[in-house]
Amino acid sequence: MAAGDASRGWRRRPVVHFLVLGALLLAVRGAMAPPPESQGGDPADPVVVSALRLAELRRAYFEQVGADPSPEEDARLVDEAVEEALLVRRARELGLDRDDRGVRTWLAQKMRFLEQGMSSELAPDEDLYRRALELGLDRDDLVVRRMLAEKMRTVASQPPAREQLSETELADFLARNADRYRQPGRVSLFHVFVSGSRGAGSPAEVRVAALLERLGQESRGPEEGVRLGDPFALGRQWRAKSQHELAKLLGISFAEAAFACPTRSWCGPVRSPYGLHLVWIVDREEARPSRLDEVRSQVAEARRSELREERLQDFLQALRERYAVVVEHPAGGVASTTLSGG
Amino acid sequence: MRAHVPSVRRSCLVVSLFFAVALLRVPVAEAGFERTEVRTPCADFDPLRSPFFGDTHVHTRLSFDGATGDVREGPRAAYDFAKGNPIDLPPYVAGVAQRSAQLRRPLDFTVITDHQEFLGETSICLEPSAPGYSSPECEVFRDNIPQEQPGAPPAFITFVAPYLGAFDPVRHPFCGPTGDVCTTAAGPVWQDIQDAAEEHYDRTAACTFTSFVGYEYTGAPVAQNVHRNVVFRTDVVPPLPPSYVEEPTAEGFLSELRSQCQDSLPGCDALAIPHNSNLSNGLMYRPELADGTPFAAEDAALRAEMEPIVEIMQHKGDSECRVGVLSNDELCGFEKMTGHLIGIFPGPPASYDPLAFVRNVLKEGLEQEEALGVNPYPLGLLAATDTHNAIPGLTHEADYGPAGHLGTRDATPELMLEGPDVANTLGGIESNAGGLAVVWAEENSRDAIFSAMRRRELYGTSGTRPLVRFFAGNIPANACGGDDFAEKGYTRGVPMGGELGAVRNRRSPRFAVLALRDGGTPGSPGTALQRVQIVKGWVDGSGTAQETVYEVAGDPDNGASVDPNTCGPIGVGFDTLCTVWEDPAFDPDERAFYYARVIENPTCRWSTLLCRDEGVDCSDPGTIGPGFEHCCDGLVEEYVQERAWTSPVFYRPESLGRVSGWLQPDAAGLLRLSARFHRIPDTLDLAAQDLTLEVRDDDVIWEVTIPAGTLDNPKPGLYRFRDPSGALLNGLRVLTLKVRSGGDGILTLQTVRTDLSNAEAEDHDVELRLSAGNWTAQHARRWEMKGSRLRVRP
Repeated sequence: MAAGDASRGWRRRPVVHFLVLGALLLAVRGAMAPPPESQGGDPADPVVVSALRLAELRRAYFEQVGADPSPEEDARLVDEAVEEALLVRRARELGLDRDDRGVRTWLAQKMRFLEQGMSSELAPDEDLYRRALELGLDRDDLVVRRMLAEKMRTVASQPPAREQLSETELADFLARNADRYRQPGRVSLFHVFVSGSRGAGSPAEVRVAALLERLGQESRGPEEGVRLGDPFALGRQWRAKSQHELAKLLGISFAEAAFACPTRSWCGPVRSPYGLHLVWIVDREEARPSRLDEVRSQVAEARRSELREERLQDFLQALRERYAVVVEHPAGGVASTTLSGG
Repeated sequence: MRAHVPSVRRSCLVVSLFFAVALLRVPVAEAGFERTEVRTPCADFDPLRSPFFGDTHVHTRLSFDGATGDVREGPRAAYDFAKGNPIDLPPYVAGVAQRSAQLRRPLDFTVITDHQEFLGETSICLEPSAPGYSSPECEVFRDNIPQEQPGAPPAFITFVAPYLGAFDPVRHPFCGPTGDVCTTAAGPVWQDIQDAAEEHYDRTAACTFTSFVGYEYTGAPVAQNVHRNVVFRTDVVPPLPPSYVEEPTAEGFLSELRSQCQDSLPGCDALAIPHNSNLSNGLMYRPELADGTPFAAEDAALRAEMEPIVEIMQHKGDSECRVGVLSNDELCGFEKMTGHLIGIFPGPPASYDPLAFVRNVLKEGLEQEEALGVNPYPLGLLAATDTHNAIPGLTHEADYGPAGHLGTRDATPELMLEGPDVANTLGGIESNAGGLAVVWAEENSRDAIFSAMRRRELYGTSGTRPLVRFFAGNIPANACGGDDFAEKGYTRGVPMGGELGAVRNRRSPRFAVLALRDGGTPGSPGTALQRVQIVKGWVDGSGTAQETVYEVAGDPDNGASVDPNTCGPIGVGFDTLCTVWEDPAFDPDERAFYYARVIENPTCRWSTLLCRDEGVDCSDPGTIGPGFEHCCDGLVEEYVQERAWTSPVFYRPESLGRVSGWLQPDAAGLLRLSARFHRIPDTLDLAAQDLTLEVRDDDVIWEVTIPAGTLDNPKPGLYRFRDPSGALLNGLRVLTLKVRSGGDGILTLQTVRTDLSNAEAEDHDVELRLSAGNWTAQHARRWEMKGSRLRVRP
């Protein structure tokens, strides 16, 4: 357990990205495509990150940390705000706000709050929503913006249908992530056990040294040899154990040492938490990468997760390239920065 | 060091080598459990079974109370963590995690158990495109992110209470009148949980990791906890299994789960693991239906079938037993919560309900069996973490303080060290790092581990990793002196979780325990063992349950202690303990359970380590800053003795005792059996009841049902059947059942040549099951292949 400054995952929200209803998906299938030239990218209509929004983010940071953000952290906050603004813009262009029950309910509630006391009758949500739109209540609303940005993210990361992944694609993923799917090495072994070692010169050390010598002189093979030691209740031999599995039985340092033993000769003494051991490796299988046929379904699921993230990143990248972005600085709002333009 | 091999001896060596390789390369058949899924068998399949360490209780951001702690990692990251990779922990500042964690030793298996009740609700409240996102209930929910206080603030209760706190739960209005908005929203989340499990399940012969699809059923009417974790055997699972909202009674939930899974979905199998009976006020295991009707036999059978295991210990305390609550066992003081309800702390109760503690529940099960003929609570034992940080298996005392289990809600030392008045029963200084489940299985695959759970061959630890084996039966007294402890255990007895009849006439069965200390890691050597105990519960002649704790190995007075300055160990303990024990008070007429408890030498509790790290020195009041008062006020123990609890072996007087016989695993094989009974119930009436006998391994090998009235009954206590052709009853040639007064009896049978080819022709577990009316008796042993016959040793 170590305190870490992991930089990955900052983009992740406590959000269930995958929630998307099928109908919604059908309606916005076109969202995946980068916006065409005719939409967006008009320098006369840039995506604006308002000074208000930046101030909100900086205030939230201060509340959490008790200090102002460093220049790097501030850049990250700005970048986050730009991303949100781009997503909101694209979501509006695609009309994701129009049929959104969440947006409707929220704006209706906001309208109801504003109209409190002005009317005693309870207006239906639909009317309230319409009046809210007329007043432009949706435009700078923080909640609506978050809703739309998240909706856009979710939509953009989803495949139009569950992907059928090609063999090549799966093989490529496996090649790129070979370590994750590595088959561990294994040994089959016998061991001679001498109980109760506590340091050099102990009776156990002396015994085990004598045993090793005797085994060498008499050329005893494994199943004869194991009878010379003390009984070991977990057994005398194991088949096809990985280092991890062996460590569970005889400890981590035993497993490491045993794996370093040569095959088909007595090796040791090797210490375990229970005593000293002489090890005979009967057979060894080296670690190797998995073949695709062994891990196809795991690779497919992992590739689908990766594709969701890639799709989202591609989409964000396309947005950044298409739209002119203006960041209003809170201080006086004199200077404005154009981050990118289409 | 390489041994020198003189050339004259080399030929000798080559010969022995050949045999050694042949011995180790015997192709192993898939005995012991049924393979129900498509996967490669494991390279290290071991018929004598290996220990697999796991966590069966893990929450991620998909749980409402994970998300409110700003936990941002989901099931995939949790599985990665279980495999040994690091994970981010909240708090997050400008999107960057401020903490991370990593296991010292990876796990072998993990069940992710997010709260099913809020899968839909949580996703809606966190997903702005979802209808209902802006409901007042979701506002309350989001207002609690990040939630800085461990105790649930009053507003949050309004989100949770209608679901979890009510006897008649209802979904929030935003879920629609029928709740379908939320259950629809839960669908994709449930699918993603399954996809994540598939992504992380190792289906290759390497068998490095097993994921299980699961969820938590989360109910606590009037804060009485009745939570259960559901584990599915494979990837065959219902579209959306029942939650507390649909099924607020235990019986409704278990029958609905069975109906959606076992009864209607081919290949589906599931079991439920109750947890935190310590916070249930006894409700979890009250032997009655929700309307107060006492259990009937079928109610007890449903419980026993669907809930074969209990989580005896986890981060919200130990549920084994409590001093003064039908027990005076001094080691019951371990990791106790002062509270008796979940999520609220009205102060310590006037008295604790006995059924809040597992040992009393096991005893209650015996009493129920006396009355009903069926034990509703023949419980196997495991432990788990219940982490809400998506960090399965993070149970090291030194790691728990910095990492916590509740996201931002216990992300600082001050929050970790809150008393129950603030943290109530959800966290704080009375919480602990949680425990682990250890399963003895042939291999690390879903079928093998799930089968071990079903037969209860598992144990729990309070977080450390000692190895423990436990067998009972006609075990040789010298079982500890050889290399074949497990072999003797399986051929001459039953393992932990098994059931036993009288095996040595009226003398005690033998109980064999083997414990090996946790070998630890290079930076943190495990702790030596202090002793092994056997906890016996039984029903005496008056029908009342009793308990006794026997010291059977090690030394309770070994004087081991902890250096208060360094937290280092003082004194010596044992690296291994092994004993074969007989119950000095064994009475073959008294039903009983026996479980082993393995106790390590004392070590510093996590809170002691954390307080020290924060500079607190209890001998110097000046160092006890605000928020650290409980470091030194005696609210919790400074030192703990980590421990392991094996599943019990159940002694049932009605079950089969000594069985001898053999069968030929062949398409035209013979079967010969002789089985002794100690107590055949007086209710047995073979004129009116069918007698069913089944011999099985992972398949049915042979079975016969003898219809009521078929057996000759020439004189009282003697029943006979004879059919030299074997044509009438599936090859049965002769069957004789003699019942003497007092219930002792013997059954013998022979078949004509009949198809017994379902049996594997190798040493493996074979079970004999016999039933008539309400009476069931069974016998499970490892049968050994001798020549052409598969034999059971008496």
